[in-house]
Amino acid sequence: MLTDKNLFTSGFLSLAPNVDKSWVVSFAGTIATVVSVIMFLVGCGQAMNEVEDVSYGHPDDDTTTDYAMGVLSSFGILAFAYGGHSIVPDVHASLNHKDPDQSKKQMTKAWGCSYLFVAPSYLLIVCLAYAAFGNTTSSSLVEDIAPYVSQNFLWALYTFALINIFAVGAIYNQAAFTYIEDMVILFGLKFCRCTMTQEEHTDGLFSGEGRKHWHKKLAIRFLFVGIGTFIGVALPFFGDLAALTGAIGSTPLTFVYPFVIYNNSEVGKEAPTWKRSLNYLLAFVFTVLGVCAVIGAIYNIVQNASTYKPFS
Amino acid sequence: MDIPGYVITRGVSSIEEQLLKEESLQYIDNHRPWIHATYHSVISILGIIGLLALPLSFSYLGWAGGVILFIASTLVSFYSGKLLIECQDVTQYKTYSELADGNMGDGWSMKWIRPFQGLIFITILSSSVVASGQLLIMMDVIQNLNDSSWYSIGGLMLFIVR
Repeated sequence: MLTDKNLFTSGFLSLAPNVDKSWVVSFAGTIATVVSVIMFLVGCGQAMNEVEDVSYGHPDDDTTTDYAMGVLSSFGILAFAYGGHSIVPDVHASLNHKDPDQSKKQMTKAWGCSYLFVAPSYLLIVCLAYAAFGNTTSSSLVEDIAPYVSQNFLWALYTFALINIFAVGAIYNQAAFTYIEDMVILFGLKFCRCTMTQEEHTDGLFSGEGRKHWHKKLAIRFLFVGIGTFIGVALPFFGDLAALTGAIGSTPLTFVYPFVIYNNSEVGKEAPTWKRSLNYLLAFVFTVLGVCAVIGAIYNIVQNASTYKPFS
Repeated sequence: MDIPGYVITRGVSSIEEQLLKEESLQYIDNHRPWIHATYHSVISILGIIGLLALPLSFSYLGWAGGVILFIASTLVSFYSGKLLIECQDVTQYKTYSELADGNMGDGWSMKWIRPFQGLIFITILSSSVVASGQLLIMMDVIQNLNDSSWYSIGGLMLFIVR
């Protein structure tokens, strides 16, 4: 018992340098995000002044079916934009609190603050971009505003956007590596005749007792990023596919399971009936919206299928 | 000096020492400041990749529909995140799957959480590679590298950053 606990503590402490370092990446990412949000707003404002004859009706050359499917897929875009919940528990745990109640308070504060920034940023950008481009809005805001701003402005915007993308990649990959290592522990022996011990799993890449086996961790990272890069580059319909997988992946984790899990938890079972009913209602409504988004996204892939060329 | 019930021998004292050490380790609450979690949360939600397509949702829904769906999604996703935090005992559950298994029964996450999570991870990774590659291509005005190389550089940078 004693040794188990000691192992656990030492394993956990050796994780610390990783967590310590990763906040710097997220901090840099946050700063870059704030700057790029401001730049997007400036770009949209600039475009608003210059674009004439903006129309807000149905997109011109769309048939009724196209339009209906577009409406259905709209929720998928929003779900993907808000789909950070798959790593919220990881972020919560990274606070490294020993007292669960204190931890909940701190994390709730952090969650509120992040929404105070994210929600207004999204709303302002969406409204300004729609006001500027109307129904000619494309699926890439950068391309939309590019003609209306200077080259230097664009370069600065690209740089900050890149920093954001790398920070997002870093934090999601961190969670993904934990996820894959969990899977290797569960299924490794069955499928590839290799596995990891719990210590190798909890230790960082080059820290703790597990460092002797760093090649396993490195192999996982290399394979994962390699496969991800290949999928992104090789699949010609990747943009449409990402809309589909984004909708399928983030709707349940963000808009459905939290309610179900909460209602089945100790805290949730003691919650008032109205709250529990509201949770189930929300889970149901957003399941329907999610299914609509998936139908819309599949329709989009089918529609565009004739134009796909591999490695383009 | 004899203290009743306290025998000083080499073996026992080392266990005592260990216990003390362990206790002190348990009570050193070297937690991170909450602002770190704020940075992580901002980054986990607001990715430029998600943001770029966002205005497209309005072009189909129009002003009224767009704003209504936007506000509904914002409030519900905020609320659902709050619920997740509320039912997560951090001393027991470190990931979404552990949280789900802890509350729904063992094995639940394997069917209901992990497939979706895996989809998210690979989607975000591949989109990041594509988006960073495209940004690098647009920044490469001299065009001395072909497009595939820029995508690979994007992938390599994502491999290094962590």
